Amino acid sequence: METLSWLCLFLPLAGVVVLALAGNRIGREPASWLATAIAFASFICAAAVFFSILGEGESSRSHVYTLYTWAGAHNVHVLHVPLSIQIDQLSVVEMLIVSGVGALIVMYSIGYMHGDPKQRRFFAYMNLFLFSMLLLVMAGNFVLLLAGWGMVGLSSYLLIGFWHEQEAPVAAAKKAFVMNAIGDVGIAIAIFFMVRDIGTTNYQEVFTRAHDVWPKGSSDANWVALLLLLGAVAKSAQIPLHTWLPDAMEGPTPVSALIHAATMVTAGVYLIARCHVLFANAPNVRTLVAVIGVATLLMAGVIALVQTDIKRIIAYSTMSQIGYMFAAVGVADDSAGMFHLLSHAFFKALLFLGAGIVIHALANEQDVRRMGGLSKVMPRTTALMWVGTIALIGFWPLSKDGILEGALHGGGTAGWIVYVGGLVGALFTGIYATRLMRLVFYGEMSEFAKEHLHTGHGEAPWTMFLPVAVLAAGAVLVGFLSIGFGTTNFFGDFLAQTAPTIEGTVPQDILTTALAWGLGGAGALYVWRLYDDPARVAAVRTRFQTMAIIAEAKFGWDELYYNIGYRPAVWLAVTFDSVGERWIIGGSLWLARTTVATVARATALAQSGIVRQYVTVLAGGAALVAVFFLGKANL
Amino acid sequence: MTVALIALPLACAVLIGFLPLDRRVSAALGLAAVLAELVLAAVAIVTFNVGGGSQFVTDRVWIPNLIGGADVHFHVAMDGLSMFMVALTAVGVASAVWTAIRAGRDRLGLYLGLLLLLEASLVTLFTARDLVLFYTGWEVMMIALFVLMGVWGGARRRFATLQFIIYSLAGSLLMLVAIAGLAVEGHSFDLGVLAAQGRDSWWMFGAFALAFCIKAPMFPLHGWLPDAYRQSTPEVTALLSGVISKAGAYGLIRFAVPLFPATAYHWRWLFLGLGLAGLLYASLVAFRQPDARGVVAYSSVGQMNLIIIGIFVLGPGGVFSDNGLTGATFQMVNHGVVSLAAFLLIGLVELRTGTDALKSLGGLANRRPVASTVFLLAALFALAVPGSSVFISELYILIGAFGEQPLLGAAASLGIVLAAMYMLRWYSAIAHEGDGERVDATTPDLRLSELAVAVPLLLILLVLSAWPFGVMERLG
Amino acid sequence: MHIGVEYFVSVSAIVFGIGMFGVFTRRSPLILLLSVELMLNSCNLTLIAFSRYWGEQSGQVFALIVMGIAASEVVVGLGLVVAVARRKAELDVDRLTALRH
Repeated sequence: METLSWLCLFLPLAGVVVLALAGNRIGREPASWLATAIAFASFICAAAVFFSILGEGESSRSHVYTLYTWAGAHNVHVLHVPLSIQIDQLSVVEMLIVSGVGALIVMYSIGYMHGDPKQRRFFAYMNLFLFSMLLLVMAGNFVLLLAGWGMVGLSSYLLIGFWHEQEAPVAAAKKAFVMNAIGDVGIAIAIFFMVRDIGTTNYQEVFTRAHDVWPKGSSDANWVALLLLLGAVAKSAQIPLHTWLPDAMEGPTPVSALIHAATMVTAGVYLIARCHVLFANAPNVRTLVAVIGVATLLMAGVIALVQTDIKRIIAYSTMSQIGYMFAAVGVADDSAGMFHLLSHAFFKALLFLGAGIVIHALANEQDVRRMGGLSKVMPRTTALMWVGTIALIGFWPLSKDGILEGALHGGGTAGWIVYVGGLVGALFTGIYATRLMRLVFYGEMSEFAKEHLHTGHGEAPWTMFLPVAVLAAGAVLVGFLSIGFGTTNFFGDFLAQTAPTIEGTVPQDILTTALAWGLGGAGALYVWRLYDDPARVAAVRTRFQTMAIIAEAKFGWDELYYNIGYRPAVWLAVTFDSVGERWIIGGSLWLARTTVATVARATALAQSGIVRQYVTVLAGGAALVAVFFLGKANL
Repeated sequence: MTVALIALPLACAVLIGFLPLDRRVSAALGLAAVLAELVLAAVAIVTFNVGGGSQFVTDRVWIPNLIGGADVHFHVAMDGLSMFMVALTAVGVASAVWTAIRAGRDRLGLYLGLLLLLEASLVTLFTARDLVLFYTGWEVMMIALFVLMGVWGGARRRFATLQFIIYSLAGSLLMLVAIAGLAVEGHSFDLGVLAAQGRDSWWMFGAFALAFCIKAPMFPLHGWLPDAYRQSTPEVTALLSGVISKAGAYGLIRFAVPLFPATAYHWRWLFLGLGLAGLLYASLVAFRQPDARGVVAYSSVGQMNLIIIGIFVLGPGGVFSDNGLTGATFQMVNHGVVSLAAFLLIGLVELRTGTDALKSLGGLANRRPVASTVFLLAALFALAVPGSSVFISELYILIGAFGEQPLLGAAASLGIVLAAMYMLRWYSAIAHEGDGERVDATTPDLRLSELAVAVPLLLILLVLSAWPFGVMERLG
Repeated sequence: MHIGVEYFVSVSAIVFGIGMFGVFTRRSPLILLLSVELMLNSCNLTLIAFSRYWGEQSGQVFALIVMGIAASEVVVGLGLVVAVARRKAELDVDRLTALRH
């Protein structure tokens, strides 16, 4: 199992190296297939590891494998960082998601990126991302986690800014990277706490000794959890570090699917689940996690209602769904959160890839107002998108339900907030998800669509369809993991040791399910009928005008950050550059130079070149000396 | 071994610099000399005995009874830090020589001779264990730089060179006085002997620290740097940033702190505070620079101030100070290579487009995949992307800083975000969006001879990132 | 007949004064040099007088040395004067001010 784990991790890295070195010598299609094959190979290794783990007894499912000492010194005080991976239930679930969904999306990209001049580079970057994300979830210590964390941010930067000939992707990539860097700093400072108080960042030691060195609820415990939360919030695009995610849609659609839906943005949830010991040690911070989750899920849900770009609708939906996951781990129901992460990976990737098929067919148009009626020409895509939409609204699998139930039964006050907020969110989800389907696939086909639609050979090549279909199947099947056939929460039980849940709940609470279905369904039906009549749409918008304006302005976060963050920083930089560098530093040097020059010039007056002046001075000096000595001789 | 490392470039310097040789012969000899030096350095690294302290020692009496009964010895030795600094010098000068040959500097023989003289003096100062010998290396380095900067630089080179030399000399001369003082008090010029005496002298420590902090440079003694970096030839700037600034940090680690441990500990907050201020100040100013050189120059100032923070976390216990110092010494190696790569790449851009003004560049990555990747890697290492060796060394410094004072560590960590901002701006301005006014659609991708300048450096960084422990355990 | 040392010294002082007056007031470099010679010779006279007074030879030895130095200095000075004259510059010490900052 050890070898398989390492292979799973390093195969994608090998892929990057091979593709980078091969450069132009390898053809575009062979390069794409190579990258896909590597991704699948990695998945096979992950699956093998998973089955190995299944075969083991519950208590011995946690393994730490070390390759060599990565950083450190022979001095005992210096932090020792081994290149080690921890394979347990939590990490193996993540490995499967990352490599599995990843492989499918890489395969999809063969069709989507076909013909792009930088196609080979794209696949190299995708492999780099897979390696980084696997490193993140497999790391056995916090430093390695941070390395993976940062490299995932790097891959995101490279892929968002893939079409770097244009301004918007470049700006979006930089924004994403810088905001993620803030999260990196959070994790780094948490590491400092660990080194100072525990002496190591290895998961095993940190989690066992945490409550010894940081008493529960103490300020140190809170700081550590809060700093880790900062990292999680940045990576998962939750309030307040969420503004980079919509901009990230500038990247190619497979990137949005893989990184900004299925894997990278869920890393924050993984982190909180992994560090559940540390968050249990800081209950107030844990409650904050839940609050952030609820706030984000509601805000993002509202914003999604008014978006007109198909990818941005799905992006805000992602933000909202991750809010649900945060809410779950915030009420200590880690398994429920992870289960939603799993199911979300399937249906959200499915939705993005489906949207990608639509975008591809409409010559890269992304505005839903220029679509419509596509179900007639793209029936298969439509069907698959419905699977995703149904999953998103929450009819099946019951991952959202699981969160709501857990919150209600075991979450205390925070649990109530999650419950109510989650139900309201279900209403919003119903509305925006159905709105997307309604506007894109039904109704009148727009003029634009009629002109530009090209589905020459079927709706899309099989390399794009197959992954979407597999994801749809996965979304359906995954539901059984948490309820079995009505009784067993396989998923929750499997994860219980590493991501504890609230009594290993099975979504049995009929009331909650009914409420969630009811609200979601109501929203869906409402919006379906609404768009039959454009006049009613306008009326609704006028009625909710204030909310609409706020939603369209995305609640003003970008403007806020621009004014309290960016502008002061620029002002500071400008001041340092002009007042600091030019005036103070430059000024002090100027002062030194001028003083020396002035003194030199003054002294140089003595060098007049006039002999008689020299003689006079000489004589005068001699006379003084003579007087001095005469005086001493007492004459 | 150490003597060979000093003698080889020195002898070749005299040969190439003074003999009236044909350009090609000078170039070939120069290349041979630096490659031989690289081989020697590699041999030293490979045969280094981990945990064995100072090795490759040579100790001979040079000038008996100079002042106060103290003999001047030719005492050189290499421990981990010295060895890697020597290796860094070898790598840096080799890259510089190759760049100079490619760029076709006039009076090539003299230029290469001076570069080799610079190399010899740097190796001397990095391995000297005798104060006078160290000072000799220090001053010869200044002489070589004076000519290199003053003769071959840009339009304002005279001003930049004089400013640099006079500023540095002010510090060095004070240091000379302190050396004399030490000899009179301690009756020796030998580092080991004097350090064992454990003295506490404010003015002497101040004199040493001043000289080194001017060279590093520590905020606010960095006024000479922007002009010096902008006016020199790219390879000289690369050496200034990559190797010579490290000489300043090295002096603090090897001499200033060990000779006056109590004084250094007493005054550490002055250096920690100025280091923190310098890191944040320089990082912000870097963001505003309109030219590629300016961004990397101020970035350099920031990084050196971070190294100074790592040096001065001199806690009484071991945890913070050991992590901080390990981080600082490793960062000296990492940042040295990064700086070399960055400035040499800027030199390539200047050769191709005639400018390094960011608003005139852009689009270098369009249809030029090799250039795109090479510049990207350089930028990523410069901003210490997690997973890289630079990230590790910065992390260890910050661990040390945090241990000394949590707020110090937290504040210094902001440098990470700032570095991301200015390096991404740098990279985007050079590589992204449409072709800039000076970048032609027909400008070809990087050729092999150009790659030979930067790729070996990037490879070193990649290897270090895969196995930082290899260097860290020897730095011990 | 024994001449007292004070007579020698006074003569010396007078000659020294004449020489100094010449150095201060004359503008021709040639006369300047002449005046300097006068001053030097007056010093020689003082040295020898005191040598005889104290009965020591060191004064006379010193006087010989002074003569040697005076001779060398005159050579150099006259050489400079000739060089200046050759360039047709005015032999006026107030005008010859090229050696300045």
